[in-house]
Amino acid sequence: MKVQNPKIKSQKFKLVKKILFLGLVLSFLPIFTFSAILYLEPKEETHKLGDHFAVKIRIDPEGECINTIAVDLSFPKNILLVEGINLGDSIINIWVEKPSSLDIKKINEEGKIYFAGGIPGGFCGRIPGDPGLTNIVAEIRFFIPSMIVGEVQEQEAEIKLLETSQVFLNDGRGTQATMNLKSSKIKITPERGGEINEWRQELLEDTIPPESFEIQIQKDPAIFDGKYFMVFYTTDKETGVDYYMVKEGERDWKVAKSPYLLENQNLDEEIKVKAVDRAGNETIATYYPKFKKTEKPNLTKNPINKKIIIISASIGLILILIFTLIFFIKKRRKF
Amino acid sequence: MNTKRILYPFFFLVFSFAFLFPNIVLTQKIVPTIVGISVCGDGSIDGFEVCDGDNFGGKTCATYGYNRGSLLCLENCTRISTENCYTEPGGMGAGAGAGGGGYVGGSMTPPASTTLIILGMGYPDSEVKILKDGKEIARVRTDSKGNFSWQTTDITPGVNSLGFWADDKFGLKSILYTLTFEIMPNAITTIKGAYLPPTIGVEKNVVKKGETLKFFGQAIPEAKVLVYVSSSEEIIQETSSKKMGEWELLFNTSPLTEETMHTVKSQYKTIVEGATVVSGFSKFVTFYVGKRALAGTCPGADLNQDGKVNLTDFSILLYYWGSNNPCADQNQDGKVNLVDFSIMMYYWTG
Repeated sequence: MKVQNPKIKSQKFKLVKKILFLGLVLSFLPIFTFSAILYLEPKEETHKLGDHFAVKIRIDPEGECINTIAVDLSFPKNILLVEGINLGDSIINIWVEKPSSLDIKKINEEGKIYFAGGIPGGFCGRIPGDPGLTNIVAEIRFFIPSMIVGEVQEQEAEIKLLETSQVFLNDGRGTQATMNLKSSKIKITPERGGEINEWRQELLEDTIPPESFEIQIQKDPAIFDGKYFMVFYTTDKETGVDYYMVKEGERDWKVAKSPYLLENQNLDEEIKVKAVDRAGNETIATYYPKFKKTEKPNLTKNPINKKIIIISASIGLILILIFTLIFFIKKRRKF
Repeated sequence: MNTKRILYPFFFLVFSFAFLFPNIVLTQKIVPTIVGISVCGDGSIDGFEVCDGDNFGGKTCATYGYNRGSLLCLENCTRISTENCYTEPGGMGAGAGAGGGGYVGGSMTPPASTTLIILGMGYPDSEVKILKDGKEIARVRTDSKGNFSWQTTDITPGVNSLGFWADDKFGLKSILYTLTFEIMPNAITTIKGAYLPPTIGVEKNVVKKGETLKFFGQAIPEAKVLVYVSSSEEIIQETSSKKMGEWELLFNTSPLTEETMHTVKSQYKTIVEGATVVSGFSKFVTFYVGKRALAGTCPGADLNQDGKVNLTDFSILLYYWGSNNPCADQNQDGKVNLVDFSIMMYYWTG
């Protein structure tokens, strides 16, 4: 009978034990790892020079409920140009930071886009029966300039979701969810394309202004040194709200963000807030002052007022004199 | 030795199975509330619909024993009517062809405008606040059984977030329960099963170890309420809600670690139309086991302390963004950032 060396036997057993332990650890991994998937759609696509295309940023919370999403995205600025950002279909309602069309130049210079916002009450994934996939965070519209036509080689542009992107669970503790990021690769063939610009088409078709909204005038000792400020916010289901503009009284319109510290702290002027969507449609909300700014009467310029005051003053003086005389006469009679 | 030889491969097989089929192992995960959407007017029978437009799922008047006429799709695609079906002597006979030589399918007047219908359950005789995209748009009262329904045509098609919350009879606020979905234009979108998670409160915020602590709240009537207490190992206890939905649980704090903050949350289980419905979790509330009392500044993200968490609080948060303002810095990590914003989204009331 063949007798195995006990040393070899023990080493073999240790190896088997290690393998089993590793298997055990690996088996537990899928049980305890839940991660939200932040992904770009399409994953891969081929385009020609001069083409316009869209990349959707989507999220799959994988059965968890999330409430805050911050997207940090990069793209090769020497190959691609951002034309626009569509937030009309976004699941995000409250924005902490969102790029407007006014930021497009800066975005193309940097090759980066950042936005962050949240869903009050959270987002737990698609509801059964929902006709849409309903998980869009944003849609980025790109353009491939045809200026690089001289380059005969095929190129690849990677639109990347950066590790600095964040997703938070709707757990009341601000727990950051583990994430699985999936980027998009765009293959560019050295041919002249120039597909229809769908983004321009969408902007032309969007004739619906942002939803109506109200201006809230607030005062809180905690902020702006207790001065009056206003809060405003609305949504646009087509191309998304691009930016807001504010007009106080007769002052000029200016681009503003909520919360906005009011220049006129007397609240005696009309205040207008204009929400402008990506297609340029506008909705204006107006705050009407409770008491209107009353002009101080100009005495020098109004002869009627001048006369009235002189007459009133004269009557007053005469009355005072009469009463003084009566008083003295009565006093003398007593003595 | 022999035992080991048998046990190791056994464990390996078991865990490999878990690795290969994680979904089976994951069955312990809580199933959320059964909520569904149906779009009446899109021509496809989905959710709880029985018909949609001309689509009767293959049914005709012949299915119901008539040989002529057309079916009608009524009550937001939830009822098929044979009102327009009839039998004609000498007709092709029931069950023959497509409705006995009459009309195939039926007809339904297309809805004039985009409509949204919500059918849900809250706490009996309470007021449910309805939020759209974070802003309160309506209030609706529940009946004595906790049912509520709400309908509007003042809604823009597209992706919408509808949120629901209510104050219970104890003055406790429920969690904001939000559903995000797409509303189709010129169709009736019905959401069925918007069940508000239960409310929860604690009798005392600080208790001595071993002391009995009362947890209470309101849920839908006569449901099984599960209470989850955080500890080194989560403790789950059960109670039932009464006719008006009130529930309470007396909890012995002996197993809990001393001088530690603990959290408790609840959810309910019930059977609706033969299906088990498990609600989402309530808000979580905290209590301290020990002698030291901890007081948080601006708890529940109500930064201006007006009893609501809305755009004003969000404005205050943005004002202090990046600073170390103790009120806005909800998690007390020394910086007002996305973590604090996430906490605000959790407590949002609109």
